[in-house]
Amino acid sequence: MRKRNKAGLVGLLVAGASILGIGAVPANAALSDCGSSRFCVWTNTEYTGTLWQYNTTTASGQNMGISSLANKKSYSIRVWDAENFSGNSKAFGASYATNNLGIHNRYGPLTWNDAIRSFQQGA
Amino acid sequence: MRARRADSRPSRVLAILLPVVILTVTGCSPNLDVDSYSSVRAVLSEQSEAIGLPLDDYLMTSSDESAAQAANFILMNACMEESGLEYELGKIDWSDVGGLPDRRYGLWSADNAARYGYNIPTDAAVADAYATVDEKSEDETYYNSSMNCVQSIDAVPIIRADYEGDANVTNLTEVATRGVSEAQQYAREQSEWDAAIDEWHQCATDAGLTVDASGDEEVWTPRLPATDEESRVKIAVVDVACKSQVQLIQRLSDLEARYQAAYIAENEARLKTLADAKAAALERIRSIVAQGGS
Repeated sequence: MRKRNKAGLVGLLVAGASILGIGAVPANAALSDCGSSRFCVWTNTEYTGTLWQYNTTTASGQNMGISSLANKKSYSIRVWDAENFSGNSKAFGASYATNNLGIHNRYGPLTWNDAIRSFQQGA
Repeated sequence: MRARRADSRPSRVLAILLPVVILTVTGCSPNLDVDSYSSVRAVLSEQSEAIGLPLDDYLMTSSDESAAQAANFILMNACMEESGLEYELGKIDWSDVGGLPDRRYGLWSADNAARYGYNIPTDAAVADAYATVDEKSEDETYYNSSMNCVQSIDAVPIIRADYEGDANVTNLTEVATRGVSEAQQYAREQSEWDAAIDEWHQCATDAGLTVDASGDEEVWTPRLPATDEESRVKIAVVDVACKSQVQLIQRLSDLEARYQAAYIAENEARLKTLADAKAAALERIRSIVAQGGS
């Protein structure tokens, strides 16, 4: 899988989304930086790197190199590995967080690390 | 350079390790007789963009997932009402709301393409309910109550290979999840996979579309204008026509279906537990909906 430069943003998931609290978060970023009722993604594992917080939950765009996420919604969120809600998908349940998308299998040897391109509420 | 002897130690070590390395890289089970299942086909429903595969006998479909979510929302609303609050997602009628379209190979419903472009068709009442819950969740009391309810309700398990939310369910589905994953990998290793995609690309290109397929990520959508929805819909219609013309979805999903059928034959005993759990979950959904969360 292609290595990505995690120091800078590669792109942004935007369509239909309200994005709050965008900005580079220092190395002491944490799960608690993700606000209540937000869907949050980080560009590095362990909830570090740049944090993006989404209020509403439909977005599609370029690969941002997402490596950890937190779903602080009361419902599930489904993510896809291609733009426009296409490709392989995976849902993360209500109040679910993972500090390493690299442990979540996509197919064969591939994982969800650096793979998310779009997402939407799950049902 | 002098040729290495055929019986040299490195060669023998390689001979021992190679099957292990290949197995690790491909992630496929050894000894599966996929060729014996070459007549197995995926069952497609274009209208709902649903792809039926053999392991669906053991896992929830997208439509089942939607029903399970609806049942759990009913439980959420009952829980919230104990605090004098309402959870709108549990108050709407989900009976006509199907599951999310299966777009693992991109958009493929001609009707959806013409009506919604690449957007996911969304029921207006469902969209409003999500928006209302989001809006109410800005209030700390409401949000904390909803999180308490998420933890306290006896939720219907979502028994799917691609759902993460309960470690017990993840462990339960592991045997099927592995089969789904291996089938996807197997499909991508077949020459038919590349042939079908090449034919779709050619059709799209001949129709004036551009598919950016030069990178190392899979691309299931032609290049789109950022904001011109009318143009996006036109592209969607042509894109889907090409996928239909070359039978892209059937050909790719058939590859997965064959592997899944072979996988089931090798793992039937372990999968039986999962089938029982799925049946119990579907029965519980019916019970919750019938009782309205009481």
